[in-house]
Amino acid sequence: MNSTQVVIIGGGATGAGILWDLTLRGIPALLLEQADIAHGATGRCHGLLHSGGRYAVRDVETARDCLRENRTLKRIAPHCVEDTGGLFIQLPSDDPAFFEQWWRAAHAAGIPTERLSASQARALEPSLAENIVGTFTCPDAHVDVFRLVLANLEAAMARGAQFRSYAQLVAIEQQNARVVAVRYRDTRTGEEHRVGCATVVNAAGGWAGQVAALAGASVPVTCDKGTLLVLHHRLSRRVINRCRVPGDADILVPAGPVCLLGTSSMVVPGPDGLTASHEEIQALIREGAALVPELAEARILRSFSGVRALYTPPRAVAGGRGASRSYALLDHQELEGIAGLVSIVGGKLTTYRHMAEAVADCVARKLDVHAECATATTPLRAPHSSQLHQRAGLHLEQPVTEKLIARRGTDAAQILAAIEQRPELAELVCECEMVTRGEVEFVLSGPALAGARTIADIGRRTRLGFGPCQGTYCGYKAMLAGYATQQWTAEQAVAEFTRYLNERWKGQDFLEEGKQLQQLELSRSLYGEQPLATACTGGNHAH
Amino acid sequence: MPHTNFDLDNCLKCSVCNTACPVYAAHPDYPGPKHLGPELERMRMEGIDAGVDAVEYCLGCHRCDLACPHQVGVSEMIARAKATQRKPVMRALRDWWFARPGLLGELLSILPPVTNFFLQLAPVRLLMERLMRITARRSFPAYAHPRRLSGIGRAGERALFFPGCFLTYNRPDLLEKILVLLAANGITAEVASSGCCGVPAVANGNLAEARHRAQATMKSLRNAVQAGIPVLTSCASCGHQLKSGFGGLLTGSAAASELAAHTWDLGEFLAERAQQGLFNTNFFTLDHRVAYHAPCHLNSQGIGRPWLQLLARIPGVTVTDLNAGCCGMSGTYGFKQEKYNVSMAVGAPLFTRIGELKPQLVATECATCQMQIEHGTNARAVTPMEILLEAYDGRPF
Amino acid sequence: MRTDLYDVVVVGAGMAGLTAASYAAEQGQRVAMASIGAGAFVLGSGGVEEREAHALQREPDFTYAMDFFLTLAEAAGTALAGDVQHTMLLPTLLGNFLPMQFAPLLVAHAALNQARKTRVVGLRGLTGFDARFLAERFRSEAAQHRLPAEYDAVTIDPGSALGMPVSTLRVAQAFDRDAAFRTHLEGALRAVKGDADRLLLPAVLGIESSDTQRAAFEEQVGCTVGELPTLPPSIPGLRLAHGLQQRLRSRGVVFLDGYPVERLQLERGLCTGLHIASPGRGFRVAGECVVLASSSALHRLLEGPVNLDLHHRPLHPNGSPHATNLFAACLPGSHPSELRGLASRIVAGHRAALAAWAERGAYAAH
Repeated sequence: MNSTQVVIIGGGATGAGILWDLTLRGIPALLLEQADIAHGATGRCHGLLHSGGRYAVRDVETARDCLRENRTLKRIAPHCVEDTGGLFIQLPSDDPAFFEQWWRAAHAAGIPTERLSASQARALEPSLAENIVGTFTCPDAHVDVFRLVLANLEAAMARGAQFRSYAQLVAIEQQNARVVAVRYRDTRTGEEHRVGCATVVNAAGGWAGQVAALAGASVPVTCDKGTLLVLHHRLSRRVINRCRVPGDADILVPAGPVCLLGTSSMVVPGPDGLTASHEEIQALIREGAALVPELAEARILRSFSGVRALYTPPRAVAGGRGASRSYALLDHQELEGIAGLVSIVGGKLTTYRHMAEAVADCVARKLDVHAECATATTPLRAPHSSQLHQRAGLHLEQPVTEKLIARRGTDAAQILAAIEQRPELAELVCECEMVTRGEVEFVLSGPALAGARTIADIGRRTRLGFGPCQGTYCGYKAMLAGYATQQWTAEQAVAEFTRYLNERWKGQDFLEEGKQLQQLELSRSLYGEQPLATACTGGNHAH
Repeated sequence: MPHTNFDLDNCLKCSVCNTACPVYAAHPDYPGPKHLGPELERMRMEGIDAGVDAVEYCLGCHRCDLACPHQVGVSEMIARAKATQRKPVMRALRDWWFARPGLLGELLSILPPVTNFFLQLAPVRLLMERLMRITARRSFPAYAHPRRLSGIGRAGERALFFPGCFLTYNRPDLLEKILVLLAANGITAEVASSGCCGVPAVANGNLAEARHRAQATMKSLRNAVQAGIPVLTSCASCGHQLKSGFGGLLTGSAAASELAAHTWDLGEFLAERAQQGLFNTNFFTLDHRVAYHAPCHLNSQGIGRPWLQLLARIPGVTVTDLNAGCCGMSGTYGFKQEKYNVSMAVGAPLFTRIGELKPQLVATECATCQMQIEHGTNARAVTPMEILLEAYDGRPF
Repeated sequence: MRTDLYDVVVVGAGMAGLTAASYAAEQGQRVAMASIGAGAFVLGSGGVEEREAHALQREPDFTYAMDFFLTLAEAAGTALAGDVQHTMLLPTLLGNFLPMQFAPLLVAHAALNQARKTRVVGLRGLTGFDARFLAERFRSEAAQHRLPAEYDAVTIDPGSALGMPVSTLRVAQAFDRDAAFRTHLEGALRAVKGDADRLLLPAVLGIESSDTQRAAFEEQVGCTVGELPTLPPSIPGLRLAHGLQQRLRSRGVVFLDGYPVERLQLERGLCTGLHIASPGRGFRVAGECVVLASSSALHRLLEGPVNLDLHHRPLHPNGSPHATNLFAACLPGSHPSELRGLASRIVAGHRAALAAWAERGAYAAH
């Protein structure tokens, strides 16, 4: 394609949400993402669908926004949300005044909540510490961030929207202070493309400043890093929050078969090259263990870090938790006189749809399109019939069926058809997350919208490699699947697998002892300490 | 106790458990302990419906646990999963009875001649197969009137013998022989009236019943445990159950730990006394070429193979350790029609080995191993206790 | 509690433990092995990398230990090919070639530059193996090494008895148990052999099978057959373990599997017993000599870093041995990555066994 109306930069929740919103309003759009879906903050957070409880005390409006969006997302994207419910826990060292404040603030924000005694809480969640003082319930939930972004993209693409991954923005072309086109480079093939457009939406999160600079505009962003830990299996059924002024390691979120503990907060120079220090990780475990004691001994699968992009206009105080978490919509026509450029910075995952709506309203006005936002009432996925479960049950065992249909919805029919043709496609490529070969081939191939181009991409679309083995076995089999479906030559396949494995290993770098270290050593011994650094050929790569 | 160190976190997905699983090798569709245990356990903890019919095919032999280099405790996870598995009505009904051999035994031993007559009638067996899916290809063991046994041996050291359901309802004669054997070794044993230890309940997915049996058993043995009287059992499955906190059901219970510390396998007990110089070695010379088959639940007790050592002491007895895997019977498992073929396939290497060695006798302390060996080979299978008693009293069994 | 007494008790059934136990058993000693599970070598292909062999060349007993092991492996029906003079280039999971010094026979048959035309054979439905992928990789590697070797790929049907998809473990078990399957496989390979002078298969040719049986299989197929590495479980690794264990059993070695050694009984400078954490009371064994051949057991049972004296006894920080009859089957000092493989463990196990043998009879009275 060489022209469209709107080009969105950034494939996180906000960007994907904007693509969907614009598409529903009939505005043709293209989304360019420098790496793969949810590369930035979206893919590196808890995936917590806030009830608003965490913000009620400080900011009732934000809390109300969260609650409303929490309910909206449960309605429009139930397949992305696990409605776990949540608890706010007071420990002996927490301020009792804050606890009461929380109760009042939650009511002010309209958050449905009940007060529970410590024993009631522990009956619900046996892994909680014995010394908890009090508990509130709340409608927190977990949202699968990758599934959510993919859902927005697929829904939009089914209606004609376009998406390009591994598309690094190179230039924003202007004529007479008006945006006319963008140029981007496919980082896997090296090819450059030019796309004419009337509007560019900068939804690039931590990279928003860099993107704006390409147009000569300014978006001052502070990057605040947070680190999270992934634990081997679920330690609780519900989201567990610490009931205190927000601090580190306050939240434990069940996320599919694992759970996530986090997070921390420190300002960093930029969104790339993030590392987590040993002390940071130990601090997370210590704090978390106050809520759930078995965290102290629990097996950690990996650590990862992401940045919150906080809009910090020149006169604001330095970033961090105090800086505003609500978003900023910057119209660069007003700010710098550049027509056709709009930036959106900040906000949180829970309110992405609301942010996208604000941006789409702005863009629609600029394009003189009179269509209302429909995203709050349009489901992101068509319902599937119960027949699909029955059909899947003929070839796959129950948990595999459940996972397949939850992930792929009606697309599962195509995968089942392939399995019916070739029974070997029922093989579980990822045994930790129950991903069949058929599903892997599907996300790699043509029929899949927003398909995978790397093994890590397959992971984001299926959770392959997210489990205990961290890609040791499944990554190899996924590589073979990519080779068999002609995504890669043998040499490219090995290079891709090497890159993938190194990235998986990097997230386990902090391990000093314990079972995950043994798992890592097993992985290294299978493929050699430095697997084939020499086999890397062709193209420039995203990292 | 080592069971408390078993942990889901420990699994490195190395698949060694699959290499040790006898059902994996015998049944092409069996997913294996790695999948049914730790992999599905993470799904179960996530709360999704992880019900897989294949869990029913786990023998409960514990070989996966023993082979695991990282102490994952696989078989316990599978046993818990069995308990939530939905079954067709008739199978559920059948398994309800199979979970309660104590109850079944009480009923069937009221009029043993009548029971035994009907249980070998072809039409009855055919009906059982059609309706209840109990295979007609095997014979049931004969039932007998339970005997009140006590006072065998005078003023010896005290012990409490836990008989288990098989000795109580099917072989009270053997139970008596065991008491005589103990008396010959200076032990006056009372027979515990505990009822079933609960292993069949676990195996048939009835964990509530298993817990009930565990509590009842502990209660009936409490006095002996507190008085320091050793609890002996010759049934390897009962022994494993009593030593392991009832298969992990009562992990953390101080009473269960105490019972575990006071339970001896009969062979283990006699071998210990042998080391103390208290084993009766007044033997008649026999003439037996014996092949010994160690029950899986003896291996899982981790006490070596004491009967091998004891039998080797009898003049005229040569013993070879068969070491040819699981027999495939696993108590009630082999009686289930849908599992019969798997049961025989699992035991095939053992049958072959017995066929190669052609021993005069196969010795094994487990009653259902005995049944399976006699069903799958031409060999005669006896318990080592009977061989030992023959060495004491010179009377062929 | 009874304490079963042996001449030598070996803790750990990895390669170090199996080597130590084998040495003692071959000398006619009464041996017991206490272990939880198999060693890590069952995940590898059962071979020794060239870089490890090179690092061990400096050790004066390397050749002696390897000779012992090679003789043992051959007697066990799981021989290794190779010698200290020559290196073989053997394929890895990713299709590149790694210099190896020793490898199981059929694994060694897959060496680069060993055949003019090689056909890589896949099994339809076999998980984790792609013949076409490997053939393409081998072609490219051969070209880089400037060798004229030809590689292509073909897929055969393993037969319906095995189900679909099928794991390498299942195929190996079928090879062991099902004569009809073996015949089917032979026939299928003969049918696709064509003018190839070597066929390379995923390593599935049995765990319990012997070298003789595999040689007979090769003969039936009518050309060289080699085995390629697969994802764990590694069949050649399991095969080696099985072969060695069977040989140990035939020498009367007693295996105490499944529960860890949780405590050593140390009295008057001697190890008088090992307490195994079996259910209930536990279980005790004692050895006139005790060899600790498991790194996890070493760290669990002895505090602090493990230093060894000249007799391979682990020492307290103050330099005195934990016990005069307690030996450790590990190499002294820290381990660079080269020295973490099979050969290091063979050497370590052999040394510990020699040291224990030298002490035989010294503690019988105790």
